[in-house]
Amino acid sequence: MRARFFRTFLLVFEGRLSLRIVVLATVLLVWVVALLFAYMALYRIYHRIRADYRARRARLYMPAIELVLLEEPYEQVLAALRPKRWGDKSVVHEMMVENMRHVVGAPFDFLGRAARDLGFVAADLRSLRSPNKLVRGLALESLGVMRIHEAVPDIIAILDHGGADIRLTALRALAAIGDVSALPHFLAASDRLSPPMMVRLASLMMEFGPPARVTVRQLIERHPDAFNVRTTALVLREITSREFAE
Amino acid sequence: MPNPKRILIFEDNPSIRTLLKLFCEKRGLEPLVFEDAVDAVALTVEHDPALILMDIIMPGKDGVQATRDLRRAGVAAPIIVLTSKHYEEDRVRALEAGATGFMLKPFNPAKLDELIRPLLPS
Repeated sequence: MRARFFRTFLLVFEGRLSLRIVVLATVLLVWVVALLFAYMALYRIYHRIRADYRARRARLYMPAIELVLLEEPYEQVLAALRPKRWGDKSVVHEMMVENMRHVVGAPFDFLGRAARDLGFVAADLRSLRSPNKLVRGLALESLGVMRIHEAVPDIIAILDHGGADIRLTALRALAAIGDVSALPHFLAASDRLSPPMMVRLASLMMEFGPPARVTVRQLIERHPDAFNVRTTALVLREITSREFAE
Repeated sequence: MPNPKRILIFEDNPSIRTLLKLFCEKRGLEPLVFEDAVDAVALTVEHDPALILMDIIMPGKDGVQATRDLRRAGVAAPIIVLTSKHYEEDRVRALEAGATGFMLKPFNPAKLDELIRPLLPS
């Protein structure tokens, strides 16, 4: 059986050049696909192990969140949040940002103060200058959730560089921070965004509340083609309903 | 007679679920958390809570429909819906469906405390 296989294999190599190329290319392709599958399997296993490890480590810091909700003394909260092991810094940072996303009031202020004291805010501000787009994106999101006002000039600077996705992340961060001095930059940034993004931009601008009404109307006037009758009506209705609500 | 300390929480976001659970536990309450409201009526009848916290946007069945089903089933426990500040229409729909009140997300624990305390049996 084995001898027969090798005989057939040799026959192929004694045959025409085109046939040899086809056979070699097929064998190569099979190997490439097999390696690709192996790589994907390893990648998935690595990420599952990493995610499990991070979730396990994050659970160790959950008592700190309990202390925050109980408004226990700040020093106690800070001690509970202090990374206990090398590599835990990013776990704690991520956990704090995730929790700050869902609370306001005293717990938010507590976590924000702790984020500064643990050096997370300074690290995010440094990351805004990273050449890695992913790192910059994560820092923008984190600074937005934590509402770090001193990050506004650096975030505005990002609006002049990078692709549309990073610009949109920067605009989202500015909207989350809610510093009205950033509003004119939304109008300027709109010139570099595609028309389908305009409604999203208008919705982000409305996060600023009443000060954004005039700028949103200016946005509609500046890009009339991007707002059809339906979307214009939706945006104006949203502005009006918020005016009534206030 | 409902359990005066039991609270049912229907919330699909795991972070908010954990925060609400911690919030209730730290106030001496007995929270039971669920990630969807598909079986809300059966669970409410089974656990007989003093209060229900209900998210609006959830997979399977949304909080407004679940609130309506609970009221139709004769559940009298107060229902507080948790809603984003951007979805005002949802708030109106939830109140029309029989919700007792609403809490905006992101939530302020102190305000939630003020909201639920008078609704719990003393």
